[in-house]
Amino acid sequence: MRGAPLRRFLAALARGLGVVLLVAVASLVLMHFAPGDPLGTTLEGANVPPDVIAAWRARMGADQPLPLQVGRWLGAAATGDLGYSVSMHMSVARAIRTALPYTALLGLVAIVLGFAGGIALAFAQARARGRALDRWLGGGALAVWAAPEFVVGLVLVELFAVRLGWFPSGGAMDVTLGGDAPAGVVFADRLRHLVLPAVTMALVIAAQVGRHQRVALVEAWREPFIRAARARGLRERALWVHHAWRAALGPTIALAGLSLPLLAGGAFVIERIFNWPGMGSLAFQALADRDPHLALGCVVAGATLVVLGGALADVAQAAFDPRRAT
Amino acid sequence: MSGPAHPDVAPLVRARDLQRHFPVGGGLFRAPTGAIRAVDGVSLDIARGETLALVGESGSGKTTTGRLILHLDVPTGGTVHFDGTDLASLAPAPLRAMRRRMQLVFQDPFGSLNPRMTIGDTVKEGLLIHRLAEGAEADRRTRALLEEVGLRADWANRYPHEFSGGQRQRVGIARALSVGPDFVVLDEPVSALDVSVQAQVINLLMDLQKQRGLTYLFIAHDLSVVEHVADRVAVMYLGRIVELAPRDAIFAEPLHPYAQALRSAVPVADPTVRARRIVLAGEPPSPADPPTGCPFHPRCHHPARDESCARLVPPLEEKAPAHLVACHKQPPTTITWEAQQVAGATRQPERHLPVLALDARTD
Amino acid sequence: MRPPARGAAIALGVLALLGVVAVLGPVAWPVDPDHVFDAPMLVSASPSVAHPLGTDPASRDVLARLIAGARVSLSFGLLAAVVALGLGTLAGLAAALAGPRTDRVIGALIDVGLAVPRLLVLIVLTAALGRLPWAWLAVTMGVTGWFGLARQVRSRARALAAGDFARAARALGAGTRRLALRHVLPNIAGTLSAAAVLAFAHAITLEAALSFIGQGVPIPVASWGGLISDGRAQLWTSPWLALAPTLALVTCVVAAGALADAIERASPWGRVESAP
Repeated sequence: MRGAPLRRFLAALARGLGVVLLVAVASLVLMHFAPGDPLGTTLEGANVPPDVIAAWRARMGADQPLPLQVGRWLGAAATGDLGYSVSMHMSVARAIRTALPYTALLGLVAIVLGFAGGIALAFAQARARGRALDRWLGGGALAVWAAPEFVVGLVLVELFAVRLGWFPSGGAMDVTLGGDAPAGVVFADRLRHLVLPAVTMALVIAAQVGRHQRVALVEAWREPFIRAARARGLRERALWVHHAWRAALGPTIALAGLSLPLLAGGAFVIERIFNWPGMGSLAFQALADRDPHLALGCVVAGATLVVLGGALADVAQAAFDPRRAT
Repeated sequence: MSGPAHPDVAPLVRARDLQRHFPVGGGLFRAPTGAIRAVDGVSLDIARGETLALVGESGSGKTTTGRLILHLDVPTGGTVHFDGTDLASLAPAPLRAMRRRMQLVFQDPFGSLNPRMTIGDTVKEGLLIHRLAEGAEADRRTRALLEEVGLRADWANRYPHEFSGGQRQRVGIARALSVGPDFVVLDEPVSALDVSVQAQVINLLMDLQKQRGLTYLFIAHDLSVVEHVADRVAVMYLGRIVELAPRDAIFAEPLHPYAQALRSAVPVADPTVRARRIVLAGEPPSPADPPTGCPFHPRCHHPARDESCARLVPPLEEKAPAHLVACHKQPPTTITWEAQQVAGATRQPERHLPVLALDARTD
Repeated sequence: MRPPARGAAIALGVLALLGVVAVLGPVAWPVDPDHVFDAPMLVSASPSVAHPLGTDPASRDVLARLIAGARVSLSFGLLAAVVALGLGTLAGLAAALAGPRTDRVIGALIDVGLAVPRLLVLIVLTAALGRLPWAWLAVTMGVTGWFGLARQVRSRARALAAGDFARAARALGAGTRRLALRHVLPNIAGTLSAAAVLAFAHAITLEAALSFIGQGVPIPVASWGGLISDGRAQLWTSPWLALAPTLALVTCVVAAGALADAIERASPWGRVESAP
């Protein structure tokens, strides 16, 4: 059934909402049954009187039976209240609001760069199919695809930050830059900080996209409608640009939607390498500091992002695939 | 073949008002917007030892009807009695036991055999499921079955891809026979085969029927295949039976305009006969959005066709002994002229026999 | 040989070679990976005859540690893949064959499992459960990694179950178990093995990422990922420390990826549902 794009998107979102709900409930249950008291660990050794701990537990709702805890958390979350972060001394919602734009910026830039690079790579390979260039590019992409993200990141840091000094090795801004610095300088500084993490993530995406796009392109090249166009005498270049990529982009977008969780995992590691103050770093801090509500908030926010992206990819795929008429 | 259905003896298969509707549209939060009425009120009896042919174009619901009768697909309405037992009343285990007695042969000789099983294992499977034989005895019976359908017993260890379409179809038949069924649904068993092979497989099926006393439901998409096979013929259109009659009656005097079109498409061997085909206008309508009234009226060539055809659903009624037709423009009819006029009729029912006229001229 | 077959042969050869190194390595290079050679100095030595890949900052033989790492990483990947394969196959088959209600429950489970970043789940789990010994970590990896496989199995099994030979089996009276074991599983063997090989590769890479964050296979057991993390501080002064395990890991994952691709493409039973 081919619905209007908006309806399709809303349906995907509705499904996604269910998924996020289940994730939240599963996390709450897991937290409840995890060995050790997360709160106890936080306050451990701080010489806090037991009645204070009990008061804290009551405030966090940790003394309630599990179903009530789940219900209370969900009820509060519906109003935008995700609880209180013990380690950050602020509400979880505020912590996430601070971190989210950084992750969104990094992710968007990396996805755009990664897709552009991956598609360019696939085109170069598909046009050189069977020749040495195809094999060399394919081999390179395979190596990047196979290497863990952090290896790619570390190599870039060593090369461009430590050795060459072209870019900063981490962080999102130069803290020594005064508040009175001109806007142009601030912008350039932000950009310089963004380059390495974005390129690292983009490389990982490009390798993945390129591998699939190349297969899809070569398959599209064998489609009857392309063969017919070739028979009509259209130039090969025009064909690749106007027809083949359109047929091949749908599967690639679908792939992007499917691999979002993988990307999110990669982003987590990359933010960690580059000290990028986004959701990944926040989640890491939540775990390092054993901050239950913050960890829960991060997991739920991450799942929401993934679901949102998946819904978008679903709609984009339908829009791009000329054959998808069912 | 044996004679037609005898009204005094209880039929082996009795289907009443079978329906299979597939919901369409809708989603997680929306109710279905409609239903595809694949099968919409089919009733038929199949007597022991007879061959009932079920004929219709693709999308007419004939394959679904076959599956419903075997309870391989669960009807959304109606009942199937097999040898007096209501199949819907059976729990899963007794139903599986009952499956021994009713089997199925498929149209597609490529998709119907498991490519990862030897043909011997395929034929043997039913014996093992119903514990009819084990070990060496099962092997012996498998080899006997292969020989019975005209294959060599020592091919048992080969895989389906080593065989031709006709040979695979014989494997499918051996598989169906392995459990000793009384009743077999033959779902276009020769449609996918070369013409030269078709006759061989048909002959095999007829021989097996004679030797084993089988009852067949023979599904086909045109009348030519069933001419030498069927005792009676049911013609389906858009999920309904529009004509049900003994074979000779259907071929000599088809009364439903759709059956007439099918009849006119049967090739005639005599070169002196001027074959005049009734070519139907347009495509068959979608079962998701069937026409109102008589489902065939948009394509009908009956001269008395009028407004009433779009308003009245003609019942399947007896026009001659054992000859049932769903058309209120072919007399006699239980829908009175007055009732037809209320529904907007402007033309009196009249007997319309274009195919018969064609045959008469060639005599 | 056709190209996919040749690619598969090479990939399989590489994986087999790595396996041989893991099994027989300690015999061919009988050096204790935990032995400290130059206790007082504790410097990493450059490659030499005595230490072909040099020593690490704790003055341990890198080749021996690499071989030990191969044992850990490969068994880790195998165990995780077996767990993921078992769970994914079971869930996928159940969803496809055991009726609509089971299908809905497992379908929702798969959607949830695929929507949550796996690395995050693993980190949360390791944080909640404490550092796990490598075998349990591998099992956890498998338990969090079967969703994609289950989805593949479900869609293939569903298509097969709707096909004629499965219908013939049901008409013969076959139950769900026979349908699954005799008619569905043998026909998805190609898909399954490709997915299992990929699960193996993913597990090894993910373990490396976990090691990097400090939640991987706990020391003193050396996995490739652990070795890479240990060596990253000396990337320019003693590059062999990180380079050798990185090369080993990338080679292994590339070979696995190529093998999976080749299996998918070369599956001789690909045209199961095709009609003439």
